[in-house]
Amino acid sequence: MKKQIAGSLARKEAGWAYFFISPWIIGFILLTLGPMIISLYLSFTSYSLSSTVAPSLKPSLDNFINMFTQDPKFWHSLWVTILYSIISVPLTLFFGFVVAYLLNLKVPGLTVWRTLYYLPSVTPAVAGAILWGIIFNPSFGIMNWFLSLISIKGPGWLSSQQWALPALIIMSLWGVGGGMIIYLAGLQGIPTTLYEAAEIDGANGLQRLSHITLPLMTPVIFFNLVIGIISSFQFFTGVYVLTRGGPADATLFYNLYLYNNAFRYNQMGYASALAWILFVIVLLLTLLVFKSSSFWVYYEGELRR
Amino acid sequence: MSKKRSIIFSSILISLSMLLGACGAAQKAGPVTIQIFVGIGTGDAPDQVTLHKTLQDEFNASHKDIQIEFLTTLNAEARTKFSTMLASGQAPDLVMPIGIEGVANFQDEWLDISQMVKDDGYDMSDFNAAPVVGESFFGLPIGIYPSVLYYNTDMYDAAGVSYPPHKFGTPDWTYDALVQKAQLLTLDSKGHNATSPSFDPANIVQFGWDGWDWFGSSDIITKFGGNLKGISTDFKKAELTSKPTMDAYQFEYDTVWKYHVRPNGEQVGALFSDDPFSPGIVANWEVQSWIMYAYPTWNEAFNWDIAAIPSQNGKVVAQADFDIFAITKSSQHPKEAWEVAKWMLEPAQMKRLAASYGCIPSRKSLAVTWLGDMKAAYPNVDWQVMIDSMAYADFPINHEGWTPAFNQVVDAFTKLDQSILASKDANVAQLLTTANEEIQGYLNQYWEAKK
Repeated sequence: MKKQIAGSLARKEAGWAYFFISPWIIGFILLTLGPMIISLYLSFTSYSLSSTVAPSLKPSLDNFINMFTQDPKFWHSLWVTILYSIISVPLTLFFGFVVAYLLNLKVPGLTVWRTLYYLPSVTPAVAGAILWGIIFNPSFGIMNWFLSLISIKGPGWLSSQQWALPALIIMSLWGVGGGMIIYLAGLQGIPTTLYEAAEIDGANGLQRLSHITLPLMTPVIFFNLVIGIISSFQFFTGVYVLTRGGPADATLFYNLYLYNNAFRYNQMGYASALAWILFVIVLLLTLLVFKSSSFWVYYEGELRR
Repeated sequence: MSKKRSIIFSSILISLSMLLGACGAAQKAGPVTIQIFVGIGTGDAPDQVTLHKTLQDEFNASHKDIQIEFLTTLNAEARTKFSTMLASGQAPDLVMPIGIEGVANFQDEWLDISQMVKDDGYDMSDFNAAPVVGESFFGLPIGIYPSVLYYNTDMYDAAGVSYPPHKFGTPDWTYDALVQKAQLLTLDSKGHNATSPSFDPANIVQFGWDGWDWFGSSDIITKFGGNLKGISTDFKKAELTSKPTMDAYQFEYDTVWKYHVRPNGEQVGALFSDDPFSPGIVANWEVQSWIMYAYPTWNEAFNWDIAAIPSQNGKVVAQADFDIFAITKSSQHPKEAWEVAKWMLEPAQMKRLAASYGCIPSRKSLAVTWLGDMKAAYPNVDWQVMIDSMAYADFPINHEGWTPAFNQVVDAFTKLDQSILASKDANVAQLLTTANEEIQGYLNQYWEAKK
């Protein structure tokens, strides 16, 4: 009898739980899962947004075959994105950590500094991109003004085929505040007793950093790495606002090419196929990073065999 | 869930479904509402939105059976929004104003209004341009933006160079002649012009010409006698390696890297944050009249005037832009939309719309008034040149006209143009061959899908 009552209560509790999370579940099914399933289907079709031209909805592998065999822009945009990711992700990880480390020290005006460094992360991406457009302006931007102070004639940045991508990589550092705040939380979670013990043992600052701080921060670095890889492959707003893929496709990022196919070339089926390939690439990279984590990520209390 | 609760739950769901279904099926009684989509062309500026609201109030007050509502979106997001509306079966009835390029972007979406024009016996004799887009008749123009050569008279005076002619078709007024003038007007930091042996192209402070900086790169092909966007007239073959296209792009290359009269890609990015004429470092600039929003800025900085477009191979092609209206093919009320469009094209409305959009009204009768207004506002400018330019407008084959895979072709030309402007080492023939292959690929893909 007691067992029956307990079971009934548990079911009731579960029912209420589902009831309360139902808005999210409904939203997820209608706005995320549903569109994902539809886009998976569309990726095998030649669906377009036209209201008058009936697209062929007969599934085929044409989009994927064309993508890999006949579309040099697919490979080019993928390469541009990988290049950006390879350089920008380590840079933002490094600078995010350095800034967090400095802001974890007892310096005057700490809260002001933290706010200032975090501010770009809450600034709308479009506003940030426009600001960087001004910074990179070759005639009146401060980037070339700084370079002129050391007698270097700055390049055309966003209008230069060679410098447009490096400019966007530099711009990615604008977002280190997001990672910084997570690093900061991690740094503050490291027990001070460890530092005190190390100090008694005669460890200097560098040794404390390499033997205590870095190992204990690896889960946070790991998290920021995964997020960094995902967001670098999804980079869109900055390039859309500043270069639209130019000059001469020098900044044709994968996501921009995807957008162009969907909304400019009216090839929604092909764009869906591109989106799914992007999903697979990011998934594989994330799995790779997860797999590698057993070699370099240290969890406190973890027992290694 | 108990059986009783299941029944109640199901009943509520069914009732809701029936209610929603009934709402969807219900026919609205009363006047037809025509939705006018704004944003693909101009029209999203605050004063334009205010004018649209005024026109909406006027129209709605004077019509019982038809009401209008403007749906204004920002230009930057208008195409995406319009595409989404089309896909979701909620296409607006009218799009206004929209340029030829905007029409070409959504080529299959417009209603051919030939029959309605014919049935109405609509009088088009007062219109300045034949409003045909491709093979179909999509809409009458509200206004026209002819292109002219804007020139900085202060720079001409300082260099002692004679002004460019104002009369179209003036003998010897060719692009080569323009380059010759431009060389005399291009100065390095030490004041040497581009014809001087001491001229330093690395330190140019004043350019004689800005080329066709704000034109689509492919637009110059027709000036050199080629087909629209260098594609055969049946739109099946890319002909970018043909002589007219080769000549056009070699000329472009030479003006930048050989004669140094126009800025290269990096200089454009460095020197111009808005139009290239405003900073007062360019002597000549060919562009359409929609640049009139910048006139007040120019007036404060320097004296200027307008001249005729030069000829090439004995022919003048003056690229003109148009603002038209277009009725969507999927509109539920095309006839009512046509009535609204006609009302908008009446002189009283067209005059206000054209003034707000910055174009010359497409009605000849109003163009005369426009000329008077402009003379009064800018007495030192020869506005007759603008009127004369319309006779040389690239119509019906307009530079913004449709091609298969429209935006892919446009992007291929943008890449070609940027590659030529990027480096002195650019190999024009090689770049054209590559672009030709790319565009041919798009054409093949398009026609293959049509089979």
